[in-house]
Amino acid sequence: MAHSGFLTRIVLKNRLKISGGFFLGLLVLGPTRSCPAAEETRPQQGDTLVLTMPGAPRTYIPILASDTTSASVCGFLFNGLVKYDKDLNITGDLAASWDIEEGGRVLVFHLRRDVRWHDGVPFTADDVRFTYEKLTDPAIRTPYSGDFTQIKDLKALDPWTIRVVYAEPFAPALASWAIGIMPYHILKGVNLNQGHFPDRVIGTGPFCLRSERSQDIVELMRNDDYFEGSPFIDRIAIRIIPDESSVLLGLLTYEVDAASLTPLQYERQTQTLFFQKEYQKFTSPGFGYTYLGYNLDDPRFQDPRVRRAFNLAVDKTAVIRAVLLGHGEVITGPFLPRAWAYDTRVADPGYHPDQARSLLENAGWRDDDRDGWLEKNGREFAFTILLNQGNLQRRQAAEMIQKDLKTVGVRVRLKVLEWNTLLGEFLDKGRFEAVLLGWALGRDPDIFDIWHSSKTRPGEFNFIHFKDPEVDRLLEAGRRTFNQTEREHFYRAVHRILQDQQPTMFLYGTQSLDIVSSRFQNVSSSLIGIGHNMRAWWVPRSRQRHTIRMAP
Amino acid sequence: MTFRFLLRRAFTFIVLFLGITIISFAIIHLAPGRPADALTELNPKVSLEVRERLTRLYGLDLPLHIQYIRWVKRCVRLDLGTSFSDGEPVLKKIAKTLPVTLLINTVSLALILILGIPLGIATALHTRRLGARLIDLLILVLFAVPTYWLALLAIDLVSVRWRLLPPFGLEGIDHAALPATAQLFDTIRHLALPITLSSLTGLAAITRYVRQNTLETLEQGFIYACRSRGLTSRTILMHHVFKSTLLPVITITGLSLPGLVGGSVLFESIFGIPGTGRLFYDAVLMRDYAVIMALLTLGAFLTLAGNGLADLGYALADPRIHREKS
Repeated sequence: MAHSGFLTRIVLKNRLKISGGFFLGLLVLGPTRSCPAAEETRPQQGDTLVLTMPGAPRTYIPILASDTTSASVCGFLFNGLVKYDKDLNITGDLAASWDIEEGGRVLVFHLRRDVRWHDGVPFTADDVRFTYEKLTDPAIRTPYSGDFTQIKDLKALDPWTIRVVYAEPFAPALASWAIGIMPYHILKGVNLNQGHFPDRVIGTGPFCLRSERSQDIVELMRNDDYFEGSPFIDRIAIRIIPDESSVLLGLLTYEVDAASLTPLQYERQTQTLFFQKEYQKFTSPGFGYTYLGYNLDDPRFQDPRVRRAFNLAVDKTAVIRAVLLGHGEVITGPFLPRAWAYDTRVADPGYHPDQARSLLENAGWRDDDRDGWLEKNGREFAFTILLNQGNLQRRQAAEMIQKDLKTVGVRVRLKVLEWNTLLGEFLDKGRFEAVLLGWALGRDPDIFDIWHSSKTRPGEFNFIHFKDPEVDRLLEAGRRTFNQTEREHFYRAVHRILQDQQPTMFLYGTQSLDIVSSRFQNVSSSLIGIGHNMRAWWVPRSRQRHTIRMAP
Repeated sequence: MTFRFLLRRAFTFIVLFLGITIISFAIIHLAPGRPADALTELNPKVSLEVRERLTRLYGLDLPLHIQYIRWVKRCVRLDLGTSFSDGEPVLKKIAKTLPVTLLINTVSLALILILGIPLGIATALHTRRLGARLIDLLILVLFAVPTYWLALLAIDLVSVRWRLLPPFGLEGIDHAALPATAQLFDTIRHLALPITLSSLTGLAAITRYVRQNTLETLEQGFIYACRSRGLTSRTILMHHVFKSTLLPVITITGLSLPGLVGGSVLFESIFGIPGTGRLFYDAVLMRDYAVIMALLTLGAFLTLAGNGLADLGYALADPRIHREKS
């Protein structure tokens, strides 16, 4: 989840972001407190923003960046052809515009002509072609190849025009081009798998990597030549702090300017006068949700009445209140609540243990021997929920589900497993009854890999073995058209079916909680997080803290 | 005799060493789970093919004994392989994290020896004085209290309340722009807390050992013999007592050799130090076999080497020892 235990912070918290320039990740509803009025109102250059991340970046090659830190740092250093704007619409980044031709089978990108790499070399179509070739090279260990293997042909029509032909219309294709484009002139002939640039990292982004000076601090310097105008902040320094309580110490000692907080830190540990004076806090819905997945090969869970009953028996609002201290929201379907695919008309049936009990009785589960547990054909209704180690919130949520199901007469056991074991030995092999997990979702609503009946092989993501011909058809249709109104129609239909069928119990969408030093002006909310306008952040000269000039 | 002693030691060393690597190799490969990016949230964009490709790329589908033989062959050529998680050579990875851990642990060990031995002898000589008793009590408490808890208290006091020293990290944000002397000062400021705290337990341990041993030695018959020969207390202490108090010191120093390169996970996490402890911990979580094996092998080698050196040191400090054994 967005906020989790110590273990998780070190390496497990690791979600994919195929995106440029998203700081700390997430979308923002609004600051809970406004910035103090600045004496100086005109933006000024200077100062350093000190961020923290839980681990050192493992790579600076954007197509290999699969952990949070690498992906975030690459977001500062590189650009994609497209990006999401602050209202979550796709706009041009390195591409000035694009045409969708032949019903979505062909994408033609018109590249910006004013972009230069950090070493001054102009950016051209060669760089795009090179990035594509590496993405689809089977020898390269990129986790992002999936969307690009659908491409039949990619040609540079001239140095600033790229024509991409897909085997068939593929809607997620446009968003997939948010992947960071790599410099051909630097990386040709380099073995990308070793994860590093031969000399210094060369990108197109608003910041360039100053040095990989230690495992301790990653330093990014302002790119004065940035094509959209250079940032005001001189430098971003990223401190690697794996322990989340140390993050709080960093804030208390002014060693850190911005961080993601856990709900506990946000609600209880940063409410002092000191924090109110020195920091501004932001609440943002995250890009993931938590759910209870049932093994649909288990005969007990094949009856939709049982699944619906469970959904009625669990008090999700109470879970959010207790586990996330209110920083989450009940979700009713497989999309993020802010996504256009999410059908807001689908209502959560609410917490009704009585209805749950009668539904279970209809399904044949009765407490005949009056021992408090339901039975059917003499067999007690008991099952085990698997969950991963190192995630305190999930553990607490599971305990509340356990308690709620006990009141309707179902015995739940919990089993906490190490992450890789849970995946490799239990989910992949179908050896589970129910599992409490989260999905990290991209910004495109294509959820084919999670719900399509063809994705049930070991290691694939439909491990609950959900099979519904109608959902299959809708998911296929949803990725074959670029028309958002049509896609909305398909995906909302999927949403309604899944809410009705309850193949998993949709629990809650998490929030991201951010804190930023109050000396930074212009920090604001948007649908893609507080990082959407980082180029516009600035610090009044009188409050600047790091005034030493650095050689780039 | 001495040659046979050395030969036998060397033989045991090799057998033990190989045995340790075989057992480590088997255990980490037989443990459930497999190398993968450790994700808590599944992301469907990381496809099945990627996981299979990883497996093939690293030969993880081969039988275990063949994997082991391949590993040994590479090791003989001093090639420890590349990390699964980022493709970086393991040697380079260790080289990046080792200096920090080594620096902190060596300075701590030096502090422990420099302070611990005199303190141990002093408290042994003055058992009746209140000061010595207080020190003794303090040392007992230090020995018993978990260091990580002390570390947290120290950070809270020294860094948060008094704002004297930075709470974590190896260097300040502006480190690179500072002049050389200021850089040194910056580094010392950052290392002061971790080094002090990582010395405490060791200091307590060695002081107690030295104290105990000195007390025992002082009651030995040969001390009375020395006294009766009219030697001064000083001569007795420096020539006779001191040498025998060295024995436990040698053992502890020898046994702490592997500890020099193996950083403490908890400790390095609290102080945000990118050392080998954290490298190992991350590698285990990610099933980064190459890194795990390299660190385990290094640890095994140093443990055995430390034991060997301690034995040799003993033999030199106390000739009775290898005579009895051989």
